[in-house]
Amino acid sequence: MTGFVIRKLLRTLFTLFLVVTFVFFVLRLTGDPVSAMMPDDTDPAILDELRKQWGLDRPLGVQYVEYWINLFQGDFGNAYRDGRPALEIVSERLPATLKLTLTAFAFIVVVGFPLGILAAVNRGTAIDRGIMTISVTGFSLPNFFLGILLIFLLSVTFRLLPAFGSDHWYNLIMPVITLGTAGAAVIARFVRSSMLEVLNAPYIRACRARGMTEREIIWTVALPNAAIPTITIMGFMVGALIGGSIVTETVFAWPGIGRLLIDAVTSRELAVVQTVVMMTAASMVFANLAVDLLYLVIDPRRRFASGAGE
Amino acid sequence: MAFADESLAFERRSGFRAALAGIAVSPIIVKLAMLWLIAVLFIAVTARWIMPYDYQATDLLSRLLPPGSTGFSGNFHLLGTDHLGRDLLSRLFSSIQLTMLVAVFGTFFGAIVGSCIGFVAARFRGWVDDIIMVLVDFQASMPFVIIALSVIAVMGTGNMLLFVLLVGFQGWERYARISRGMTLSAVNHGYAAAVRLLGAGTLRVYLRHILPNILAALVVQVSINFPETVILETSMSFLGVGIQPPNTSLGNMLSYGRDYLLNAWWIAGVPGCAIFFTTLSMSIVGDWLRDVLDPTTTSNT
Repeated sequence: MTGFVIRKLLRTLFTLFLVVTFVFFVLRLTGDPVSAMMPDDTDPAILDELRKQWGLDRPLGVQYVEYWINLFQGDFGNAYRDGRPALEIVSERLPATLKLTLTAFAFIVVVGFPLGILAAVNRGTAIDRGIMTISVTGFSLPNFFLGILLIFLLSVTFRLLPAFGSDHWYNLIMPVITLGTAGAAVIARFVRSSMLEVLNAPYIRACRARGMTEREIIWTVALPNAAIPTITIMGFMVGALIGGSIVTETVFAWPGIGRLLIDAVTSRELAVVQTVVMMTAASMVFANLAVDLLYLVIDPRRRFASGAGE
Repeated sequence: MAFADESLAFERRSGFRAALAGIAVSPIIVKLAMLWLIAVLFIAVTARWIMPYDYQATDLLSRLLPPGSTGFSGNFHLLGTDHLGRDLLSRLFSSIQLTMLVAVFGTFFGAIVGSCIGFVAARFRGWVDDIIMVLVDFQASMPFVIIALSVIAVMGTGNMLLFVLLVGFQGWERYARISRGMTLSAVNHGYAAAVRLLGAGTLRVYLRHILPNILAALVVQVSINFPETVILETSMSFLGVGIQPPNTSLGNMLSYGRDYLLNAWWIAGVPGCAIFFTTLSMSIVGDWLRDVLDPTTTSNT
């Protein structure tokens, strides 16, 4: 079991190493950052001077090693426009994004799980079909359109909520629905099929034979077992939420990292872009690690299987 | 053993025929979805000829006209006009064309490249396989849109070919995983070894014998990937880092409309509904296709 944990940790570190390497080479090999940032008609002498100043005239290997040294010192480069450290620019946007994504995550769990359970328990009935129809619709609705639809309905037509702003709790309602709907739809679908699989398992029949009530079986036996595989999906959700927050933050003018990334891409603030990419990768990699370790804690079969494998 | 595998291969291939026959008995919602997709494809192919007006022609005196109104110059606008007085129906056709073009080319590019990478991993095994699988895992642990954005940050916006390839690359790791896994199990079945013993070369074994047997799984993956490609392209165009003006995509049409929700909902509503009905239809048809083609999934899911 310790071997399993160590292997997972090594794998996590290796993925992080790959991410940094990927970012380095994308930024260095697909184009010249200096001419990408400067206007097209800049004097070549100035470009050369800038290249020298940023160390871009040295061999790639040297740059690569230096890149690592800088990262370990917390230096992600400076923004081109105002010279502030990129890490600082990204960090001050972090709370807004965390507020949005964590609330959306809670929304996904609170909405997705009950719908999935309800559909599975009422399999084949109108309730089941209704929930699955909602799920397919929610999954197919692109989040940027959903966001605009919500603004149109709740802000423009019924004047219930302000379209922009991020200071009050009610400002979160529309962005969270926009960000969380697709995830909730996926979870509902997944929980449903996972529940159905468990409900068909022999041990459920054994429970029935022992005289447990249907309600007891669903809540104390079926649900805990059906919830285990959904943890994997939860890990994927982290990536989907980060990707989705880019669009959601743009629609609602939410002052988070997603909108920062889009601004940085259009104005070619490469230092900011690389910082966001690395932070995203790091949070996804650690989310996957957390999922793997969580499995060990809650699923004894895993624990023994991986222990026996060592 | 070999006979059992032969019959398995036969069943898989006849799945396609079953699918064609199955359209006739498919549920009404699937038929409607197919009808919508056929209409979208028809528009995508014929947009240049069936659009009523030039999609770039502005008419400032006929700005923000609601659907079904006649403009200042006497032009009839079935879906209304936008903030520059451009005919929305013509823009919609043009956008559908470009969005479909990117999605179709992108999806097939990604499917072919991804499957080939999987074949290479399965054929060579060893360190080649290891490197490919590490890359697959790496890709699976990053949201693709972030990678696409970082490439665009360096290369700049406005490069259409790069954008199509980039959008298409989305999901390559799933094709690679499927084609690798299924090829490995196919090689263990008797039939691949048998044709190799008969003297077939590597390319022949893979394209003529293994590919047909794993095609159903790849087609299922295409049906999952296609709507995702449409959503990726439209969201990047919506964000202003995808298709650039004067070209129009459903995504950047929608982003113009966002500023006019208060007095001209149709500018956002028309492209938004077009995207939604298209992705919804693809999901419905895809689900149905999965049930018909893939014998391993039950109707539970």
